[in-house]
Parts: sequence; structure tokens; C-alpha cells
Amino acid sequence: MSLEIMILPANESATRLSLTGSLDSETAPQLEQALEQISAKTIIFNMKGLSFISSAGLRVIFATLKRQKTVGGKVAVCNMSPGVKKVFEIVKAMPGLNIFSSTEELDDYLASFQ
Amino acid sequence: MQRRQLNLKHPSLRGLLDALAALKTEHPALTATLDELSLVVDELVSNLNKYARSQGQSTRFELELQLLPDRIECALYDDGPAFNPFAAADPDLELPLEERPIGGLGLFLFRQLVHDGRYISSPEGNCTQFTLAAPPYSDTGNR
Repeated sequence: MSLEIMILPANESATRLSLTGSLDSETAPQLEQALEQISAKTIIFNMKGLSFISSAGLRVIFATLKRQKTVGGKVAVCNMSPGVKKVFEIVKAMPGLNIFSSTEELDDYLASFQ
Repeated sequence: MQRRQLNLKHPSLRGLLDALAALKTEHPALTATLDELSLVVDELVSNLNKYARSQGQSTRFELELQLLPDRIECALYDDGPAFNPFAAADPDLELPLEERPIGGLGLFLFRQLVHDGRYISSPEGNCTQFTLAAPPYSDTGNR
């Protein structure tokens, strides 16, 4: 299964990446490449259409978090499927990320910065 | 669902993952387990390939599956150098995400998701055996 990435500005300082398909060792470089073009203060990964994520995908998310922290930015993740959430839980990544169960919850969070 | 045996031979990891994705259409009740299997196969094949390359070798893979109502039994055969995925050290997950070193997560995920893991290496080739449990039956399930 391939990975589709849709990049949308969420507001003045945030960019949303909607991920659909599989974020695995073969598709993770695609996401890395897409992220190179983004310099938003907040980067949001909408995982609604993501069927699974491997460690290669996790590495891209964690590298983005590391980069954002060095410039005072943020990373948020929303709409994880139970399977994807399980992977984040196994590697104890939940406490280090801003995670939202729905787009509405995320929008409220973004609105709090405006 | 009756026991179903499958033998998947693909030259690439993408081919194996696509074959597993196609199985979800035939076995919708096993979707979550097949997604976990895709993750496990991705981690295993990536690491075996990486180790083989570090030894100047290449590897061919063959995945044998037994699909059962409550589990999927798997055997991944490879002809690369011996590499036991159950013997790798665990990463330090107590460190904050931004301080964690890159690497080590894949085989950790693999080991956390599988049951009854066993690795056999012989001059004829290597075999990694494991089982993935399906989620419990639900009232609406069609297994």
C-alpha cells in the first residue's frame, strides 16, 4: 500500500499533513521529503487515513519533533486509528507528543493560540 | 473461517506488504491482525536486509502464513547471513522522545507484537517463526 500526503495550511502558523495509506520503511522517505518544504511553527499530522505506521514512520515523526523543539515549534497528531495508537503506546511516545482524538479537539487547541 | 495456508514469495518488501494488504479484502475480520503483520514483516525484512547489506550480501524472503480464526501463524524464510531478531537489545524508552537515539525501535516493536517467537538458522537458510493473535471475537464479527 502506498502513502498519500495532502498538505494544507491549518492557520497562519500551522500546517496540516493528512496521511493516507501506510507509513512504512518504503514510504517514510516520501514524508521526510514533504516535511523539508515546511517551516510552520506547528506541524500537524492527521492520521485518519493511516492504516499502519512502522518504526521508519515513527523516526520521521520523532525527528520532526526534535527539529521543531530546537526552533520553539510544536508537533501535534490527531485521528490515530487503534492500530497506529498501539504502536505509539508500545514505544512510550504518547507523553512526548500533543495527541488529539479528533479534528475538532485539535482545532480547539489551535484556536487557543490565536 | 477454516485454516488457510499461504505462501508469499516476492522480490521486494513492497510486494510482500501489497500482498498482505490484498488479503484484508478477502479476510476483513483479520484486518487489524493483518495490519500488525504488515508492521512486523516491515520491521523484520528491513532489519534482515540491513544486516545482510552490512555483510556485503543480499537476501531473498519467503513468507508462509497459516490464517486461523484466532491467530496468524507465520514463518519468514531467508537465505541471508544469520541474524536473530529476538537477541537484539531493547531501546531505552525512558528517555524523552527528542533525546532518544535513532534505531532499535523496529525489532523492539516486532518482539512486543509477536508470540511464540523462534529463530532457526542452518546452512540451508534461516527461519523466523512467530504468531500474531487476532482480537477477541465481537458480537458483530464475521469470523
